[in-house]
Amino acid sequence: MKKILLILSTVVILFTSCSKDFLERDAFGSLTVDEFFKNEADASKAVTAAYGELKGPRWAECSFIMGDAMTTDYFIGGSQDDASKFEQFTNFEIPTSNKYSSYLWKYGYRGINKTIQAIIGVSGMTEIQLSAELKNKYLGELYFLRAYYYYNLVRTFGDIPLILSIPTSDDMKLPSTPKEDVYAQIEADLKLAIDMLPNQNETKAGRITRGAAKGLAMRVNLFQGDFADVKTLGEDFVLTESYTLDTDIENVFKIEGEFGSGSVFEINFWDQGEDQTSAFTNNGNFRTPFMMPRGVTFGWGLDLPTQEFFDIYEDGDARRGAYILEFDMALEYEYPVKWAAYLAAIVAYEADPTPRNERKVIKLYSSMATKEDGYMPTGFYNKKFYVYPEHRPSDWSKSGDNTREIRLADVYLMLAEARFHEGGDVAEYLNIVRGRAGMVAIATPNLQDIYHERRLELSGEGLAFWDLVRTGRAKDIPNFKEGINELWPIPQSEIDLSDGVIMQNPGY
Amino acid sequence: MPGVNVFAVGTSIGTSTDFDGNFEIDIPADAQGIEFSFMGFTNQTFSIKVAQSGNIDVVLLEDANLLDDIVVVGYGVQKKSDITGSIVKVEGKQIQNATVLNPISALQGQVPGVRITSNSGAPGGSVSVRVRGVGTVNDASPLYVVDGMPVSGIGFLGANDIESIEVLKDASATAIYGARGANGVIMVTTKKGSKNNSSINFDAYYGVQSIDSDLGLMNSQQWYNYQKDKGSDVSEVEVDDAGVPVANTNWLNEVSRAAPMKSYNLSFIGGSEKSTYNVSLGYSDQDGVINGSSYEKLTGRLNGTHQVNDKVKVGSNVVISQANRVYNSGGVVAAALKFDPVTPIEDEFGNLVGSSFTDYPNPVGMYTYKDYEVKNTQVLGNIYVEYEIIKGLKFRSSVGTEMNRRDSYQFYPTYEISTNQLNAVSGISRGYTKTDYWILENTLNYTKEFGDHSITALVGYSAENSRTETLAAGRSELTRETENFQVIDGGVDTLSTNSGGVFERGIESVLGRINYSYSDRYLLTASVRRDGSSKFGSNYRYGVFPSFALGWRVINESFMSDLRGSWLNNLKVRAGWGVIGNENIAAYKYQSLVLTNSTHNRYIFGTNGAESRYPGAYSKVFGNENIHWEETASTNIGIDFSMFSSRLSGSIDVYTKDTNDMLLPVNLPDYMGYTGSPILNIGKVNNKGLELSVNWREVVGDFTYSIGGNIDFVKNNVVDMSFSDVLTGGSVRGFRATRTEEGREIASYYGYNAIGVFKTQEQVDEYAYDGYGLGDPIFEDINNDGIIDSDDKTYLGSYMPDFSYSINASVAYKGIDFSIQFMGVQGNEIYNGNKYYTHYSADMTNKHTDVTDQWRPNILDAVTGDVLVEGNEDGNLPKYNSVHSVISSSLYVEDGSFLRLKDVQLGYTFSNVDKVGIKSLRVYINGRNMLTLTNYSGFDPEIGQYSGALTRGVDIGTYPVSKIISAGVNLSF
Repeated sequence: MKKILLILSTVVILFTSCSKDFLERDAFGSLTVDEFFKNEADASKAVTAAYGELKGPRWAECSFIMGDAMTTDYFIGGSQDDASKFEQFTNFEIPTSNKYSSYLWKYGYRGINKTIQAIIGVSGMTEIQLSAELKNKYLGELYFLRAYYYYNLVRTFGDIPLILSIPTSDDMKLPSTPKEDVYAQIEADLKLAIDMLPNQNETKAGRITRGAAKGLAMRVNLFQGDFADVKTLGEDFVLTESYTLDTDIENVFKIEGEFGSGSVFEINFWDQGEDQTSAFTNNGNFRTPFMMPRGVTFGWGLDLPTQEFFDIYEDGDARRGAYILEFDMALEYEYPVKWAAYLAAIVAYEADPTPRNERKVIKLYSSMATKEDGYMPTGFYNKKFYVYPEHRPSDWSKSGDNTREIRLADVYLMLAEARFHEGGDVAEYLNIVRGRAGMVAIATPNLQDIYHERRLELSGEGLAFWDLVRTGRAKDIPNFKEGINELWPIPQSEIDLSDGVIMQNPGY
Repeated sequence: MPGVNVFAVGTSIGTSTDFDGNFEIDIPADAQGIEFSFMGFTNQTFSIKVAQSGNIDVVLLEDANLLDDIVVVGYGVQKKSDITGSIVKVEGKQIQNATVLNPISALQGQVPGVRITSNSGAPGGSVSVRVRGVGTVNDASPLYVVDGMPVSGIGFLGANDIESIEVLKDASATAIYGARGANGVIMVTTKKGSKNNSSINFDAYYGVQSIDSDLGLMNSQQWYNYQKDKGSDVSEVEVDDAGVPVANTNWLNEVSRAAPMKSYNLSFIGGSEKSTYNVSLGYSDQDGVINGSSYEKLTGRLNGTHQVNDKVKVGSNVVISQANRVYNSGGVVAAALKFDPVTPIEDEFGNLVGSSFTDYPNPVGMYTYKDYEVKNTQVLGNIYVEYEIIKGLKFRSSVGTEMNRRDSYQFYPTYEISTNQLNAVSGISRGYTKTDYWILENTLNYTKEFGDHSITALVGYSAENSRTETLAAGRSELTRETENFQVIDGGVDTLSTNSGGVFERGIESVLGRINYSYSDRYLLTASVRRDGSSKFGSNYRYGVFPSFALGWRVINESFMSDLRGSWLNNLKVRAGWGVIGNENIAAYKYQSLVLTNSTHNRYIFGTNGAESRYPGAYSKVFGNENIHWEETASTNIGIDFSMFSSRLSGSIDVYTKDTNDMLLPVNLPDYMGYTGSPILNIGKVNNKGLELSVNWREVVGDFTYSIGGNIDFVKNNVVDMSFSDVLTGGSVRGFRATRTEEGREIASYYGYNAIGVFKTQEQVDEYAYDGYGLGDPIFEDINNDGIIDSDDKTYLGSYMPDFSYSINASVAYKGIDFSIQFMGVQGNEIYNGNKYYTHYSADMTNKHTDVTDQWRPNILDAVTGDVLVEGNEDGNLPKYNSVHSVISSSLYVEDGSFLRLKDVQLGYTFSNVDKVGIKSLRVYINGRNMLTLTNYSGFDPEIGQYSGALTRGVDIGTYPVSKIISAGVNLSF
């Protein structure tokens, strides 16, 4: 019997499970999310990935279609083929299945996913793994990025699914969250970011700063018409942040002007680095090839200022020459030798107006480039994305010019508008902006003066259309359907996949 | 009666009867009697006294329970009469002489509900085995268990090594294998030694394989005339003075051959009262009927048991196998179908040449300049100990291992046949995959009978671990191309590639089963297995798989006593239900892996001139933490019967199988922020079916005969695919042949339905399809809107037959035996992708002679309207250059039904060979796949899958199954 007991107990032992780890096998050669966040380098990589979507080419493409080409100040241009793709937007006949809605949605949410992964991972790191100071800074950057991506989505689509944790298979049919709640989350994130972030002198250029977070918070509140908060944030900004307008207005959008004294938030690009074979993996600014003059440079000549818009700049307004590139100006920059010969020929013709000299002028002019190339060119280009020949990259996908996402001039004009509604000296900051452009001060600016100043100062930066929407002036755009076109249609595939749990925006 | 075992009871002495029933035995004084035994008959024991009389008339009585064979079930054996699930047993002797190198192929047509298809007829080519329909679009391969140990396949064994194969079909039988039971379980028992008996057996056969390469393709004269008539530029064809092309190459003949196949098996079987052993060595070798392919296999086996004392028994089973497979390029058949017959194989200098008319490679060149060999070494073995703790309570512990080493050698010589077929840089690549697997199993088995009650209970624990390591390397620009340089070091070190990885998995399970029988009338089986698998995340790591089955042996009821005594011998009703899983999915799918090397995540920090790029990392692909096995619930009801003194026996089974968690690629909403389509357990598939088998067997004096057959019907239906797009598969030159969608069979053919050809302008006008004219196919306007577009695509059938069946018969008279087996499938279709080239494409590939029936207009004199050149305005095939015949349509779909004479064998067993020391000697001739009746126009209607479940039944130049005529010998000393 003893023997039996002995054997039975052996059996029991043998029946006992090996160990819990026996079934816990990790993949070789790669790390799981849980294993990843172990040191400073890991945290840096995760945070960098969250930034990564900012420089995505599709993200860039969408911003200018909506931001400017949908207003009457800009025309889509490009090639016939480009125009046919974009005109459904500029004509406000936006189908629910279109790739630009999908791009914005998809890459916005991809940025959000990356940001959430980094927030969760970095938050869980110990002080030994990541210093408290760096952790604070990284989290501040991440909260800003999440707010930035969400703001672009909520402004464009209205009610959207709000995801704040790493999505699981339970999240496959999430309904949209009312946009008010999305905005509340954005403002909460920005509040954290403002508290956690360093100022621009304490961090590496290109990293998110406290000023950027304040500037974005002002933009978010302004879009909601929450002028009191804009005013609070703006007064604080001008008091505590050390930005000044770049006195040389020509410099603001040049390569040399990057991270200038008035630049609050820039998306950083680089014309160097390996692997620059694809537009999706390069380090170059994708807005630039879109907007560079067609035929004259490698650019495709989209998003063109119209003659009418060019004309509203008063003579003496330095911004006309600094922000808008006339066709002849492009020729001068691009063909300096021929341009000099052409100017000389004009002088010769004026001195001796023979048909021969006239033919020479015409011939020299047309030998440079022709602006008829492309779809209804206006003769004007967006100079804010023009890269001068001396900085011209070897390849169209490698433009190193940064996108100025938030500028001090914008902050000043936002503050002026908030003071107009909430009380305060409207003229103060409006006239600083005007003064830099060489324009005389307006003693008591009215609301139209503020709107007008924003139009002149901020055109071509992807903001104009949203200014019209938030101020109720978008209805004046031809074909704009009030109550519908303030929002874009949510991608049809998302509605289909959710079995209708996500609702399409009204009118689409 | 030959082959009856005779042995002296209480001793280790035994023998068996010769052909005339004579035997000789020296009976020691301590013998307690003489026992006669023969399978299927009741043992008879005689006292020594009777035995000493010299002549015993032994009348072996057929066992009243003839069907009371022992059946191997998971973790044990059961009497067949006690079985409550659907289990089919195939005796080793039914398959032992089959001329197949993978014994699973010998099962073709033997088991209703089990469909075995060669994916390729190549030597060593893969075989797909589907038990009871197709439960998933993923891997639906069954679980193989050899001598109690789960293994990756049974190709390492020879047909001669097998004692029996049991196929566990329904959930109540397979649930004891839990997460791996959903696709059925194939239980293989290898031959063991036998007590008190020893023999040396030698089995060998030699066969010749062939294929019928006449597919009705054009010869060079036909091709030349055809191409000339349709206006192709044939000026480069070399013709003699009479205008006849000089070359006439039948490429299918050139690439195929009559290929030898041979197999030898030597075994020593025996044992004493306490020990048994079985040692065997098998060698087989098969050249492929398509040049450049071959397979050889060496298998050594050692099985032994030893009874240590009356409580303890130990044993082990060990197999070592090495297989060597030489591959030709998979596309040889496809190329031979396409290559034009006017191009000679080689030029006057003996160099292979390319075609001036088609870009496809010279088929001969495809294997001439290809050197690809894979060596597979497997070592499998287990040792076990059984201990009878108290009477009826047995503990068994077993440790097993499977070690797999796969070595691949690939050499790429430099050559240039044409601009489309060349290799400018020599290269070598080597691959090495090693898998080590171990399993530990402990079971406790308790059997108890009291009164009318009989109980068998089993509990068990098992742990399994496997680790696979891969290593591959390659280099280019070998210094020389001789064999000495066909090693990695023979290439340039800077022109190298390498890769390697490791995959691990663990499974840990507990299991239990109770068999209860009351009064030999009421049977109950209940089993449960709880599997834990490392393939799944913590949410779904463990799964419980229960089953429950009842049996009613109606025959033993008292009200049946009258019948039982007369014509009815057995009647049993079975019903079972269970839940089982399919775990054939890749490891680590539940984990979200961080991609640290993705280019998409970088960002630039730093001011102008001081910028640098920072690397980023995130988890790009959705790790579905809830991924788990595909779960199948299945219900089976069956009847077993035998009657007329057990001459007629049979079974009927009906079942329904619901796969509820089929893994499908899912389109995630973009708002989740991931890339790609993860796989989720969201699909539902149903299979229902009916299986019937009957056998008649009778012994009339010296004459024994049997006839039997089986038939099975399966209906497959994809019930739910929400969240997933329709799946397409089976690429045929730019279009997909199959589509898998809700409400359809998996991998149904999809395209336009051709209902004729536009032969007259009136027809063209009547249909008024935009873009269709004379000579184009008429597609059915499914939605009746007057426009032929993608909305008019429809389902055109599938590879799944309505039913499959097999018929077998055997006769034996004195020494002569003859057996024959037919098998067939009915109601399936084949998608003949080769027709793209041979029938429809306008290019200059070789054509089928049927294309003379293509629609061609008469050419009229422009002035008189007289017919200048007679066309073929009544042609039934679309015109040669119709753009509508080179898209997916019913023009490619053919009836795939066939009836095949699978196996026929004539043998003779010599009598009186014992005088020369031979126990038994049998010689035979065998024919396999000798005759196939089919309407299918391609090589062979047995079309498997060329790449995954969604390519099933699509013929894009499948390596055909060959005919084999062989002669063999079974010799026993």
